[in-house]
Amino acid sequence: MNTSSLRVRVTGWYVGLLATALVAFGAAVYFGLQSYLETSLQRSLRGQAESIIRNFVSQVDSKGTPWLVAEVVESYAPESSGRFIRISQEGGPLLYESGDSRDPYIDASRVSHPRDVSPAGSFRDEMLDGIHPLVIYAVPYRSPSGKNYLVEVGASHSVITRVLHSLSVALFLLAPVILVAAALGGYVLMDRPLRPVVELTEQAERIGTSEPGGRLPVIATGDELERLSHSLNRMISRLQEALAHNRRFSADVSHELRTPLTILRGELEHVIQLPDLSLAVMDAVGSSLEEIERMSKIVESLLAISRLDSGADGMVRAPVDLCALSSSTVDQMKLLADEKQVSLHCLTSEPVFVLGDESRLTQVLVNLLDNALKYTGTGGEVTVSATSSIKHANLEVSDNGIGIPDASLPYVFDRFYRADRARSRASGGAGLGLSIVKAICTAHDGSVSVQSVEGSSTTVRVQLPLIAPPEVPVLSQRSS
Amino acid sequence: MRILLVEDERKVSGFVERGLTAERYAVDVSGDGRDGLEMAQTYPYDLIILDLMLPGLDGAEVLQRIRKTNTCVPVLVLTARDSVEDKVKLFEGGADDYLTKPFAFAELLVRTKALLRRGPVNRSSTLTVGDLSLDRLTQQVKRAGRRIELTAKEYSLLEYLMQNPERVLSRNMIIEHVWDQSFDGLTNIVDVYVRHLRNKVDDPHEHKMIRTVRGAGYMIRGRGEQ
Repeated sequence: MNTSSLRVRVTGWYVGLLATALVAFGAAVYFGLQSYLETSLQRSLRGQAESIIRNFVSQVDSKGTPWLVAEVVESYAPESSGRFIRISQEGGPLLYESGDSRDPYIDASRVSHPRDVSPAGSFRDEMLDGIHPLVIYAVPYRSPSGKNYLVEVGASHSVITRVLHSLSVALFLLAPVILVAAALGGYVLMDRPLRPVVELTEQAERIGTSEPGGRLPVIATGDELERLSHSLNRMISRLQEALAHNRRFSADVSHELRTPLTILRGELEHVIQLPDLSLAVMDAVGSSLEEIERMSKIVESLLAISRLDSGADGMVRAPVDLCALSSSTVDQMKLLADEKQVSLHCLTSEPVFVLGDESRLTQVLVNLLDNALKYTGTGGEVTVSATSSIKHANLEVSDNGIGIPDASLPYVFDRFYRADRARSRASGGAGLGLSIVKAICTAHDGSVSVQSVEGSSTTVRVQLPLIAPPEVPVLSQRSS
Repeated sequence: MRILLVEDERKVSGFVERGLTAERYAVDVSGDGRDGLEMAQTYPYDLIILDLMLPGLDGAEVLQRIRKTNTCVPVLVLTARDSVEDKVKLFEGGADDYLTKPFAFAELLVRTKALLRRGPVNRSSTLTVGDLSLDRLTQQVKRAGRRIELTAKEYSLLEYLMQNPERVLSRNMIIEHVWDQSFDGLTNIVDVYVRHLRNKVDDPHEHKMIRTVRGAGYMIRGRGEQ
């Protein structure tokens, strides 16, 4: 399970929130119930004490203490009330005292006797034998005859404690069950709303830059995801438009530059033919002509790239044997390698066929070899190999030259990119060779990649879809 | 020889006219498609150089109409478009050759000459420049009577130079003829081969026949001229 996936994260948040809510709810219930139970116990104790005073103690002057005790016993039999009741006369005898023999057991004789009791009555807590908590309400009464009585009514606190205990047990047992159920349910439920996102992702992976019509499926759910898919599609349109604009721009620029270049070139060629030119003028004009030549090359390359990118260049596709193509190209470039004292080998064995434009594919190899030779010093080695795997034809050009710095590797196929500006300008490149290679490979549904160790080696690998050898042997149209 | 140049870019037609006139051709210039077509249909030109992007009447349309009435006049098309389809369309439309802008004037001249002599082409089996001779049948090259051994590429290169003596051939033209367009970006290959060729052809001799014209290309020249 991917812990950073939206589904897991949303479920996690959801469960976390639910847990917090459950804790808050449990606490509220617990403390609310506790305070309610305590308040109602106190109210009932006070009510009993007041009713004992009103009904019995207030008449003790006229009816006497035996009557009082008998009445209290009758009305508040310990067996039925479960209360602790004590009636005493200040400075006199204990009139009445009863506890509870059942659980919670209250031994009335061990309950302490309070000293000062406020005339309005007061509550006190008492721990009997260290284990039986009691709540006791005590209220004094002064009879018309001037005698002071004290009425105490108490109850065990354990009733409340027990209720609260079973509530908390219920909460603690139930909460994890609820949470687990919520997590599972949430995780399963998230699948449905997230499925369109998965679809969007898969489809988005498939959209390339060359097909202008590529769009995401619109999710007709009416929710945020539908809006998202619409927005993404609009963004794709804008991107494709920008890309097309970019291509059109470089095509237009190159196109428009051609006429002025033609004129510059024509005029200068005319000048250089004039008689009696000084050497300095000849040199200047010659140098200008060289630069015009270079600029023309750049313009042509840019145009070629934009045509290949937009797929508009009519390539002639036929079965081409990469092995034959490699060895004939290597033959034709051998002299360039000899010149630099670089040994140039071609490792080929079985024919490797691809469907492609022979002249374009030759151009790929020529550019790659040109680069390899440029960046390999005297005594170096450049190797071309054409091999096939199950589905692919591989064309590799490797050298043991100066290599490419790691930081530059991702950009070597970008237009006008040069790993080492000073060096490559001196060797006459415009930084378009590898861009053309990439454009041609892409137009052939293939790919090109580069691996390099700075200072020791570079390998460029072109991968093209392999085809079965044609039944009629193909003769190379090239005369070498 | 009379040549019609239909080109709306005045500066381009300017230097082309100047150059061709210097080569002793009679050149008429038209800067408009309709006008050019009218001239092409009125006068018997030996060659028509036609730009494709023209005001008035599109170059392709002009070409088509010329071909309706006059099927034999050679037409050299100047174009700023050079995709494969465009080229195919041009030849189907009746063009005899084309040049992509920007072109070297030398190249225009070579192509012009080639088109003008298309009738009786000089396919003699021996090419001779100065004391250098090349026999196309035996593929033997001799200078001052001594045989020179050349590789296949060196031979093609020398043959191309000797077919156009006294003409500056740009590296581009050489690449297209001796290699092919796939080697386009690789102008230094021409330099290397020319150097090798020089070693064999010129080194033992005082007169150097293969010359470098800076910024323009190479040419071969026999003894005595300049």
